[in-house]
Parts: sequence; structure tokens; C-alpha cells
Amino acid sequence: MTDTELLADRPRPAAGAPLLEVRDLRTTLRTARGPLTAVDGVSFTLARGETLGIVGESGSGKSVLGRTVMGLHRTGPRTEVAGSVRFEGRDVHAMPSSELRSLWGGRIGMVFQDPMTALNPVKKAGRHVEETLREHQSLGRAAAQRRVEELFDLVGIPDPRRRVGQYPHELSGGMRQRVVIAMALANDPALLIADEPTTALDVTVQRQILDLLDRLQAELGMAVILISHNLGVVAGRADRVAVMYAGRLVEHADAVTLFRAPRHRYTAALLEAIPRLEQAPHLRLEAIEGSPPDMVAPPSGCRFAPRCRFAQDDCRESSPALTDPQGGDHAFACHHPVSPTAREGVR
Amino acid sequence: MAGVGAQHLREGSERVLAVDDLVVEFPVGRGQRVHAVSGISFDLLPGETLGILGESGCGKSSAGRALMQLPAPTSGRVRLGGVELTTLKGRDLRRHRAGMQMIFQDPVSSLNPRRKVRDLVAEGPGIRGERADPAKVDEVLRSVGLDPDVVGDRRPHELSGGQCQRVCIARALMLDPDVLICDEPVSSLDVSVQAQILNLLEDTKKRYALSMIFIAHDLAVVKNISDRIMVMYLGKVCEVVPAARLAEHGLHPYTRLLLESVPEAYLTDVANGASVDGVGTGGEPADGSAAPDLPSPLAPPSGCRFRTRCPLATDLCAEVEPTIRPAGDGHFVACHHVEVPA
Repeated sequence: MTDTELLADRPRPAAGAPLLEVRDLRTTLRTARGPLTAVDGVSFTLARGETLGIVGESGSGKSVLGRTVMGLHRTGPRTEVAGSVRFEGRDVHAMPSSELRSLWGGRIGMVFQDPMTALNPVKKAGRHVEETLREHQSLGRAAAQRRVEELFDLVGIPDPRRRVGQYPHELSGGMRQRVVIAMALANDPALLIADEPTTALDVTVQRQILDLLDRLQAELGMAVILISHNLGVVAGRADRVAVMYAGRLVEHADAVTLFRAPRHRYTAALLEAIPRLEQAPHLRLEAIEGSPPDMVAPPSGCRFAPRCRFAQDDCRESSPALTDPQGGDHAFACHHPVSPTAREGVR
Repeated sequence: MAGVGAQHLREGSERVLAVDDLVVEFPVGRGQRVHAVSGISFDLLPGETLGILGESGCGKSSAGRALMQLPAPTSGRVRLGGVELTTLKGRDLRRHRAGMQMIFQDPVSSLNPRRKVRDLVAEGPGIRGERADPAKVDEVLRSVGLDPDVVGDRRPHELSGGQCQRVCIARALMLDPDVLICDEPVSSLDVSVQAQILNLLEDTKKRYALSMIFIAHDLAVVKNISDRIMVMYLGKVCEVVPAARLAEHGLHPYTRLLLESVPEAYLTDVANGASVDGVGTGGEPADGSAAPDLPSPLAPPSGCRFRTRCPLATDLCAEVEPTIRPAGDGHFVACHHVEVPA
């Protein structure tokens, strides 16, 4: 593709610098009920080609985090963003809007939950991808259309020549999501942010789309942020996993460590609450009592404390910091963590 | 897959619910019809939970609603406690149907936003022209884990999704049903709340001596709560399997495909350090390329309806619809080619 010219005038980050660096990010949304800090002091880095899974329940702030990283949430009349997001060495929140727009669909691709609302119902499938291409690259129509067919082929859409001329309503949910993925990949992004990309899809189609994202990532070498409420979706696909609860990162480790030996009480409890296929029927589940907190007035101290079976006075008084005590790239924010040797978090 | 046949029925036993050859079709204009449910039969023993498992479009919700006569099925018989519901109308239908109650996927939108919890729960008897006993309302609310003094005067928007689903269960219990039909009752809830509601449904079933039909797409959830599982595809029965046998002994190619697609399986694999790439997907390509789309329910495939996606399909599958045959230990499968243990 003609991407080489684009590569030339892009500021090259220092070798070894992370692709994405998020520092103490705080997103406050003004709501009718008062300010709501949906993302509260989140930091992480992402290397080129790496997949970070972000898991959390509804209201945990995972989607707002994804959108703030992209710059979709910016400081404005109803939103306040503090902290920094550096992508390829540039501060996303210091960019003028024109630069941001060239970032979206360019170096950062996005895939959202509902492919039907991400596509314009009166525009043909191929046209969506063609416009994304021509917005970012100087391509003639014929060249762009050839590229669209290549992209459809890349994302596993059978019979691309026919499919480019179809409208979104003529496509199945899985096909629509493939079109959205083709749009996201059109300009060879360095980072793909996929927010619940398979939640609206059936389980067999979900598997296909996740396999597709895996294959594309290996082929194209992009980094991926995979946001999901489903721990299983993230488990098979992410190199590292960050768990969010009530706007904060509570645990962060490589996927194997996190699912094998979680340290935070919330992660451990969440893993126990999920029914598993290998368990006998009618096994009583270890439910987490209560429901996630109201983010307009979050509890003081550890935000999971009101629902935690292991909470003590210190949990309600002081907020545990996200620390990595063993220095093994396994950080958690819990005053009374699961012991590293106990396998109580895993069945 | 298309299973026709009734070998899996237990006609000798005492059955709370018996469904024969249920067909649900919806006209969509130009003489076309959506074949939502195409001749399925099943029954329910006292105290049993039947899970109905399938993806969107398989007809599982249409089947559940047809039991309630919402709307009445195109053809087929639904016998609840010996009473044939499909021939009843008006007040008779409402009276007999009350023995079956239903809870839905989205608990918030299934409650009238203007009414208070106590009134919502008391509504059922009111429709029957009875006055709900306030003591019973309180008792039922307590049994679903809600404190009537705290939530009794609240409205749905003041409750969480999990609490709304508890109110829906309480509403159902007010009418002393024998059968509770749950249509995706936990799929809109957070993981941490889902386990609470599943546990509550188990407790409620025991406490009120209910039988249950549990309709869902999530294999692990259905397995957790069911005694027997019926797998559906495009309006037909693929397999009827005791819940304990699902994971290891599921036979039908469609059941296997579902089992291989379950993302939760990775949790265990990853925790055990197994490579996820090694998981095979029987029949469906593992590089993420698209498998054939779900055929249209307007014109379902001939013979076995799963054949267009099935790795075992042959000409026979296009010509002859397989019948449901026994596969040992209360297990039944509708497939020409799958090997059944002798």
C-alpha cells in the first residue's frame, strides 16, 4: 500500500518506547446527578504488537477508558480529562482536532460492540471502507475499490466483489462486524481498540471473529486493546489483562498469572462466580453479594470493600494502591490479597 | 438436525407439561412465513429443570412464548397439568395458564416504570379479580431476597438490574405457578449478579416445588441450572441430553460446535497453562474466516437444517430429515451420521 509515504513524515518514537503510555488518567463526566469520575487514576503501557485485555462489569469504566485513550472523550463542557495519553510519542489530549481525526481510522482503528450502529444503513458496505481509505490516503477510486476487495478478503468475507455492493441490512451480524473490522484495518493501524467486539454476536460467530482478530494481529503486527465484560473472551486472546472495578485498575498481570493465581479479592471472586462447563450441574455458585457501586458517590477506601467477604476496617478507611510487591509484573490493589500460593481463586 | 420424532418423551410418567409437535410460524407478507419452530416435542417432570439451548434465531424464545399462548402456536398441543391450553380462550385460558409464569431477559423493561414494587408484585392476583394478600406480597419479596420495608415503595428505576429480576421472580411466584419459564433471565446481568440470580432460581425452585424451563444461549449457565438440556437449531431439536453429559458426551455436530465456541473454556485452559491455539473447531475454519451464514428461517434447508454448516453432512442429510434416536442414559440425538454408543 501507499503507506510508506505516511510512515515517512510521522515522528518516530525512540526505540524501545512503548506504543502507548497512559499515565494517571482521570475522566470525569458531568451528569445531572453531579460529577462522575468514570476513570479514576488509571496507568498502563502497551508495547507494539501486544494485546491488552481490559475486563470489568458494566459501569466499571472500561469503555470510557478506551474512549479516553482514543481521544473521543476530551476535556470540554461536559467532560474533564486529567493525566496523559501518549501514543507513538505524542500526547493525544494535546493534539488539535484535525490531528485527532487523522489518528482515528488511521493509526488507531476502532471496533465497537454493535456493528449495526457503526455502519450507515443507507451506505453500501464497500463504501464505508473506501471512504476510510480515501480520507487517509491519496488513492483514486479504482485503486481504493481494489483495496476494499482485498480488505474484505483479508477479514474473511466470502465473495468480496458481491459483498461490497450490499447494504448493512443485507449482511448477518458477523459479516457486519467483519466490515467494521475492515474499516478499522484499512489504514494499517498500529493500535486497534476493540470495545466488546463480539458481545452482540452469537457464540459460534463470536469464536470466528475472535479467531479473525488473532490472525490479523499476528499478520499485521498491531497492538490490540480488547475490552470485554467476559473474562473468557479475554482469557484466550490477551497477553496481559487489566481488571477494572468502579473506575480503577484493581489488578494487572499477564493472562496466565491472572487467571491461574489472582491476588485481588475481586478478581478471585469474579472467577468463582462464573459457571464452568466442566462443573457438575446444580453446583452452587459463589455469588458476589450486592451490586457495583453508584459512581456518583463511590464508597471510600477500597471500592470493592462493601461486597468483599475479606474486607476489614482498613479496607473501608484507606484506598489500596496498585503495587507490584514481588516485582514480577503482577500488580494489584488489595490490602488483604489472596495468598500467592493458595489456589483459592481458581477451581 | 432436524429432529422429528418423540422418542425422548416420557409418556408413562407423571408430567407437569407435555408439548407435542409444536409449530410456530409468522407470516411476513408476500406469502412468506418465518418458520420459527417447526415441530418440536418435549415434556417436563415435576421438579425438573429443562434447559433450552440455542443461538439467536433457533426458535427457543418463540417456543417458550408459544407455551404461554403468547401468541398461540400455529399448531401442536401444549398440555399443562392435563389441561390442553391451545383450545382454551379468554377467561378459561387466563385461569389455566396462570399455572405457568414467565420471566424475561430485560428485567427493567418488563416492569411498569410508574408502579411501586409492592404494587408490581400484587398485580397478578389483581388481574384475576382477587385481592393480593399484603402478607403474601411481603413473604414473596423476602423469599427473593428483597426487604419489603426497604424496596416496597420504590419504583423500578431505583433498583439495580439484579433487583428488578428479583421483583420479576416475585411477581411470578404470587400466582403459585407449577412451571416457571425463564427466557434468558441472566444474560443482561453482570457476571457478579448473574450467580446471585442463578442461585436464587435454584432456591426458589426447591422452596416452591416448581418445575422450570430455562431458555438461554450460554452453555455453562444452562448446564449449571438444568437437569436435561434440549439443543435447538433453526426451529428443530438437535439433541436432548442430561445436563451432566453435555460437556463430554454431547453428540450432535451442532452441540460440539457450540461446546468448542464457548469462551469460558479458555479460562480453564489459560489457568492450566494450555495453549489456546490448539483448540480445534470441528468443521469451522480456525483462522477466523467466515463459516456459512445461518440459513434463512423463511426457507430453511431441506432434510437436516444444520447440514449447510455441518462437517458430517452428506446427500442423505439433504434428502431425509433425521429422527430423534436414543443414545443411552436418557440421551437422544437427531443426526444421521453421529455414532451413538451401543
